[in-house]
Amino acid sequence: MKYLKAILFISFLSIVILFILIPRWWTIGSLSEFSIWYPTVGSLIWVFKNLVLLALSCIFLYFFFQFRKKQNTVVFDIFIPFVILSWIIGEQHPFSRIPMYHSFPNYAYVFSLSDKNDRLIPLKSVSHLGTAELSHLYYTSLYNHEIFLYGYAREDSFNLGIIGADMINNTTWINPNFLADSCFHLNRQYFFVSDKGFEVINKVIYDSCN
Amino acid sequence: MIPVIKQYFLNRGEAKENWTLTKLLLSVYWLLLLFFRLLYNPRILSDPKGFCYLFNCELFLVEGIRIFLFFIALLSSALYVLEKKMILSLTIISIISVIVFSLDASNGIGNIINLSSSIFIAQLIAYIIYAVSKKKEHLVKNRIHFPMQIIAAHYMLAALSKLHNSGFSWFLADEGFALQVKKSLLLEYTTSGDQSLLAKAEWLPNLILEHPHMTHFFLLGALLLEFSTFIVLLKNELKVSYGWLLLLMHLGIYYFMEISYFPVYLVLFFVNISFFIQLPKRLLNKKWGFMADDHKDGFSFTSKDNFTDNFSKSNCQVNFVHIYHHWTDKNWNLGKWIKSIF
Repeated sequence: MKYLKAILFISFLSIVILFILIPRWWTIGSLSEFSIWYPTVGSLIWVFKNLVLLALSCIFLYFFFQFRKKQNTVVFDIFIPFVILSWIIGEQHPFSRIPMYHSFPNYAYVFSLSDKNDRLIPLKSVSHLGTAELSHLYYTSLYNHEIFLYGYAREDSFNLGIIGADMINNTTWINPNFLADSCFHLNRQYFFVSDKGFEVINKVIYDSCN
Repeated sequence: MIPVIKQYFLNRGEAKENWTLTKLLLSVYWLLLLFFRLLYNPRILSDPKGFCYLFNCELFLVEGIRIFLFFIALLSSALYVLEKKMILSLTIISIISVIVFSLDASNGIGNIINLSSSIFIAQLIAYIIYAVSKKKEHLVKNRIHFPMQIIAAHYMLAALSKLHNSGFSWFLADEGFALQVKKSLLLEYTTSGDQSLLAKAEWLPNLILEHPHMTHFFLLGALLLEFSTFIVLLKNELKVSYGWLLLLMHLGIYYFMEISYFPVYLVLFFVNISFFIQLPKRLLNKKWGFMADDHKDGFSFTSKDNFTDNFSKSNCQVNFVHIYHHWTDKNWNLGKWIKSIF
């Protein structure tokens, strides 16, 4: 019984790991998708997959309630529902998948403001926001304009003009007349690592002087 | 000194005052967050999230409504700290928290993780369970343990996100990590104009590239730490050690990336700060503060500076003694001895 429990626990853990690594196959892969992926036995694999998932869920619930009964505590009563809900709901407060730095791609954008002579204007001196928050505005704007091909400087100049204007308009300025009165550039520096080390390509994405 | 450190790290002798102190600090921190968010943050709803995704939040952009919300939050926090009408006060606090932080996440900046709302909701659940079951011992445990579960769940989610998006090789991406470190430092530089950050953005990412194995080691450590935080829910003795390890991890992130996120909730729920408040009492040796209370069972004065009580069991020599009762009694052994000294 002891070994059986261990085997079941390890199988369950492996399935959870597969769940995380290849979620499409295990979770939302539909019958039609399985028929395309495996033309001959797709339907059978799909049925088998769902039976395995059902069985494992039952085993998990059994062990969970056994453990709960044994411990006579509520060790995971908030933990497990919160993890599951956050994973399903995603970035909607108070839930989140905590996506920060979940991957390290070989590109990074740094945003800055500069005057007409290309001297840095520290964003703190003119706005309540920091440039890290400007980065978030950049990605939100890309998403809102349904531009899904981004990163590695793949965004075209036309779209960048729209995004740049969006970022500037969604920033709060200490002096409300800053936008009307000042001549400044919003720059995007594209950093990447090559054989030569760190490389950078600059681009002005908003120009208030013209 | 060493037994005291051991006692602390094994999370023994957690004081009863811990709950009051936790509530007080939590409320002050939450009110400060609320104050700055309601007053300074952008009043734009470019990307509605959370509560604002479900309901129209335009109303909460009005100055008067914001001040009213803060006033209600202040009143509810006072009730909460005083342990009055807990279900009502925690319900109001939770709703205000969800509204304000949803507004905060809806200005297009997003990705701002704030545990306040979920921690208050977890405490509300603990009080609702108590209202139904009437078991005080469950409440005393749950109101601390439920927020701990929320904190552990956040670290678990962070680890799952990494595994989901990058797989097990997340910790091997030293080049990408160096690039993100450079980016973070440069973003701080373009925000503040601090030249020292520009210099740091030159040497630190290059150092990371030069030492890939060291980078892998620290990243793997961080990933394992996040993934295993749930263990503290099973073993309370590990809570303080995990709290400090996680604080160290955040300190490392701050040093490398200048991300100034201070995990207040770890300090409140993992690090057992009430221990430090009681530290002088714990550290004070009997030798330097013997309570010669004649009414206490087990107290005795044998000869000269030899005292004993129920705590010390054996005789101990003292250098400083607090004398109670019989102060002017010349027939009392201790009184006689004191008289002989002066």
